[in-house]
Order: sequence, then structure tokens, then C-alpha cells
Amino acid sequence: MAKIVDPDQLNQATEVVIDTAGKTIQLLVAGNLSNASPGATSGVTLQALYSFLKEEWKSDNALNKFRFPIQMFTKTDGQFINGWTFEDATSRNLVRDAGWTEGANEYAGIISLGAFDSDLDQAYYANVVGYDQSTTDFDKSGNLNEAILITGFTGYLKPFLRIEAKTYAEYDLLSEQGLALLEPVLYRLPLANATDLNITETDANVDANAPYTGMKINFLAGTGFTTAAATTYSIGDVVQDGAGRWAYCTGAGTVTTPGGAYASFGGTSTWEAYSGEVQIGTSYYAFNRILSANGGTAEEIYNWMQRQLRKTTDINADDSTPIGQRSGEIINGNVAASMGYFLGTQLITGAGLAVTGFDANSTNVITQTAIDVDAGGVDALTFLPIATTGVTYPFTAAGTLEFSANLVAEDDADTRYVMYFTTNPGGNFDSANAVIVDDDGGIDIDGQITAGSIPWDFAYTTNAQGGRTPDTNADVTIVAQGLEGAQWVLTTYTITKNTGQTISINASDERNYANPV
Amino acid sequence: MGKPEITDKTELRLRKLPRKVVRYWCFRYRTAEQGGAEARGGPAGLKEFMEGREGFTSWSQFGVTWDVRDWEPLVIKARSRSIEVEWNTEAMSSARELPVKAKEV
Repeated sequence: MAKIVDPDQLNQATEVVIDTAGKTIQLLVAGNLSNASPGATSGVTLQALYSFLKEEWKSDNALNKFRFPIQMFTKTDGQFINGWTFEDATSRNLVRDAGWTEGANEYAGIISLGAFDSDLDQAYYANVVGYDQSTTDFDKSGNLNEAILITGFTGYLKPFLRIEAKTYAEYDLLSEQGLALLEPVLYRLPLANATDLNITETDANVDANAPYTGMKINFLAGTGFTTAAATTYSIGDVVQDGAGRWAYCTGAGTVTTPGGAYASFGGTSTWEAYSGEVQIGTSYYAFNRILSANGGTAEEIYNWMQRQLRKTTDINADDSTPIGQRSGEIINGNVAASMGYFLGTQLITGAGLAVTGFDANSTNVITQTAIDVDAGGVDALTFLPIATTGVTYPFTAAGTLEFSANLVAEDDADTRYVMYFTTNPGGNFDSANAVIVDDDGGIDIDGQITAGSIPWDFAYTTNAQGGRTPDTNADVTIVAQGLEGAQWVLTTYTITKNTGQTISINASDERNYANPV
Repeated sequence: MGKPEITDKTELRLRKLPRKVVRYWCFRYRTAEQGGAEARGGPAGLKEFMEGREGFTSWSQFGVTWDVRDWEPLVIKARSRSIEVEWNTEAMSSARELPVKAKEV
């Protein structure tokens, strides 16, 4: 089927019914006229209808004696005149490539640019600002080409395309195109999608299974996000103090000595630690959306994020502490702002959104998008930061120690493994000052062999034990032993800036140890 | 291409049809071939007559690669562009440029 663009495709009483008594134009799904999805390949252009009416008014004496129904301003917008209107909503839904005025009502034409992945993909729109607002489905699925009623809603229009397991698209028409108000004309806007290769879970699984069921997002209060200064503050202002920490104003008043930690601020205002503060490396950053990941990996987090963004219910857990710093806002998922996206293997969080409590193995593939200090704070309508900076964690190398069966079979208490630096300014292995390697948390990699595979991690970017140079490969020696079942064994390895590093430790069977009781 | 020969009464009758009527029913035959509404009630013999004309390829190509002459609607002419392409070009030329805003990083 095709969109009707030629007046010769129309015929009175088949596709078009002209009622001179009621002064209505009715379009019928008949003959050449189809209303099938997608709108881009059905219906009739307003220009073709207008041209058809002109020809009919010229040739049909029954029409010629009446005032003409439509005035066109351009090929894609016009208005009904002389008291004429469309007969019904079906007629309006059949019009393509146009916006128009009809009595007191205004209709804007919406055409999507780019391709929908499927003709069944259903886009929707919000026409009132606010995360608590409901949405309306476009009349047809697939690539958009239809008119929507804008009377009373000329200040905002945001179409969304969010389909399970596909990439998401959305477009704030007025702000993106610099419009003051919507008009009854034709608008083109980019809206397209494709299969999302990073979605690996179904909605049902995300809704029912761990770790997803333990994930949540909290939207926080807070404005300003400025460097603390000697000035007057209001409740809700957020500042970065002289120690680099973030604080939330709980009592309006003055700050007279802003140079140190917020606890030392002089003046009449009162402050507490900001709950949106997250430490990355040695620095502290501010966020106003905190996603608690319940130990999930970056991919699992992304699957959960995308699922939330299609819920029509409130996704704000609103249970963060302290209570006073909760935003308290209703955030309907299907109109909520993006929470993040994958750039290659890197999960980039949404503006002002921090992921916490995630699987340590994902540390290196998460970029947190922090609120910039002294850059305008957050937008009063969207709650999104005016300016942000992507922050990555210091790299954590990681992997597993894989022990031979004889080591694993021994009583745990009879086993031990230790990882040393093979060479180190503080002391090489096989010397009295040998340095045990610390894990990412600063704990010695030294323990009992409790399983065949034991994970390890290493602060690759920052580890300076014994005076070694951080952010360089580390030559290490792992020693392991049992008592009755496995001999002492030594394995060397070079830790590189990677994850998934496997170190195999294979001991020979012990045949000579004895400690008679 | 010369004038088509008038061979029978059917063509004589068809010759009296206005171009608008010929094209409307050609579009109906196209719609029907594409799975749309059946084309019932058209001028008797028109479909078969056009299918026998020089330049006819298929009904789905009507308005795409072929059309009928302005002054001789029973004679097929080639189209360099489909009516949809012509319209889209025309409509988009009258629409304003789509503003592009730099993505904030």
C-alpha cells in the first residue's frame, strides 16, 4: 500500500464523502485509501485532499454553489475555513504530511526521520512537562507520519521510542529545535531504533530474578552544586567544602568561614553530608541519581536500567537516607531520563547518575557522569545537571587463582597461598623484605586454599607498595602448599592492565611429609 | 509512438473516459495488486486494455515507472520518478531545515 499523494487517487463517495449540509469532509478507509501502520506508507496528504477538493468544486455543480472548505498556506499546512471540519477522528487519522487548524483545534503533523526496526514498534509521546505525566501512543506503529491534537499542549512535545531489547530514542521537539510554541504545521524529527545487543534479559527475568530485584534508584534533592563560599544559603543547597567533600544545607543561613570541612563552617546555616556524594579514586563527586546495583555487573545494570525506562509506574525508590535529601518526586519510568548507555564495552551512566554497589569485576567498565561544580547546578524542570563530567575508576586488574586438585583436597587449615612481588624496591621475593601484594582493598593476598578457583584483584593504577611505580605491570610470585597432600609450589606471573587473568598453581602430590601424632 | 489503433467498440468507449477516471482506476488496480481493497466497479475492459498496452509492466509500477499521457490517457508513458518521490521532494523542499543541536558531553 502507498500514501496517497495524487488527487486522482481519490473519488467522491469512495475515499471522500463531502457533506454540504453538515459542512464536513469524511475520509473513508476504502478504495485507494488505507489507514494501515506505519503511517509513513498509508493515508492521504492534505495537499492531495485539497487538490482533489479543488477539482471537485470546479466540476461538481452540487459543490460549486458552496463556500470552499480548506485554505492552504504551504504544501504541508492549512486551515479549514467557512465552517467546514473533518467528519470524525478517523478522517483526521488518515491525513499525512501536514498540520492544520480546524475550528478551535490545532493539529501538528509529526514525521519521524530514520528507520524504526519494525512496523510493529509503537512510539508514544508526552505533551506535558513532568516525570509524573502520562503518555499517549501514536495512532499507528512503525515510522511516524500522522497528526496529533496540540490544542492546549503547545508548550511541550516529547516523542519516545522505547521497545524491549531495542535501542531507545526520544526527542524533545521544542527544546531541540529552538521553538517557542508548537504550531499547526508539519514537524520532522529524528526517531529510530535497532536491536540492542547489550540487552540479554527479558522483562520477566529482570522483574523476577536477582540481582535485578534488589536494584533500585533514588532521585535526590539538591540545588546549586557550588564551591562553598562566604554567603547565604537556603535549605537544599549543595556545596563542595574546602576538603573536597559535598554537603547539603539543612538550615538556611550564612557561611562565614568556608575554607575547611563543612563541619567547621562558621555562620548561622547548618549542614550535613550529601547523600549523593561518591568517592572515585581519591576524589569525591556529586550525583543526584543513585542506582544501587545489588552486586550486578555493568551489563546487568544496563538491563535493569532499560527495563525501568519502560515502566509506566513510579521508579523512584525514595528510600535513601537521610530522609530530608530525598527528592520525593514521582518518576514514571517511561518518561524518565536515560540512565545510561554502552559505548563499546563502557557503561556510561546518565547525567548526574552514579551506580553504587556493583560487581567489582565491572569497576573498569563503568564511567560515572558527575555533576560539575560551579556550572549551574541542575535544571529545575528536568532535575538533570546543567554540566557533567565522565569519571572513571582507577583500573583494577583482576582474575582468579586456579589451584590443582591436591591443594584443594587438603584441609583448608593445612593450606596457604601468598602472592609476592617478584621484584620490588622494598624487597624482592626470596629475601627477608619480600613484599606481599595487596588486593584492591589494601588487604594482603594471603589465605587458605578454600576452593579450586579463588578470585583476586589488584589496584593497577594506584598500587605503590614498597615504592613501586603505579600504573605499570607487576611481576608476582605465588607460593602455595599443603601439608600431607600437596608439595610446596612456586608460580610466577605478570599482572597486566586487564581483567580475567588466570593464574594456574599446580603442586605435585606430597609423598614424604609425615607428622606422626 | 503513434496513436493506438481503434480496434473495437470497447476501446471506443474507453477513449471517452477522462484522464482522471483512467488514472483513478489504474491506482485502484495497483492498490488491489498490493493487497488493498478489491477494484470492483471500474470501467469494463479498462484493466485488460491497459495490460495490453505497450509500456505496461505491472500494476504495482503504475505511478512509479509508468503513467498515462496527459492528452491521451490510454497511452502509456514512462516516468523518471515515482509520484511519491516527486511529492516527498516537493514537500521536503518546502519544509524548513531540521535544526541540529550539538550533543552535550
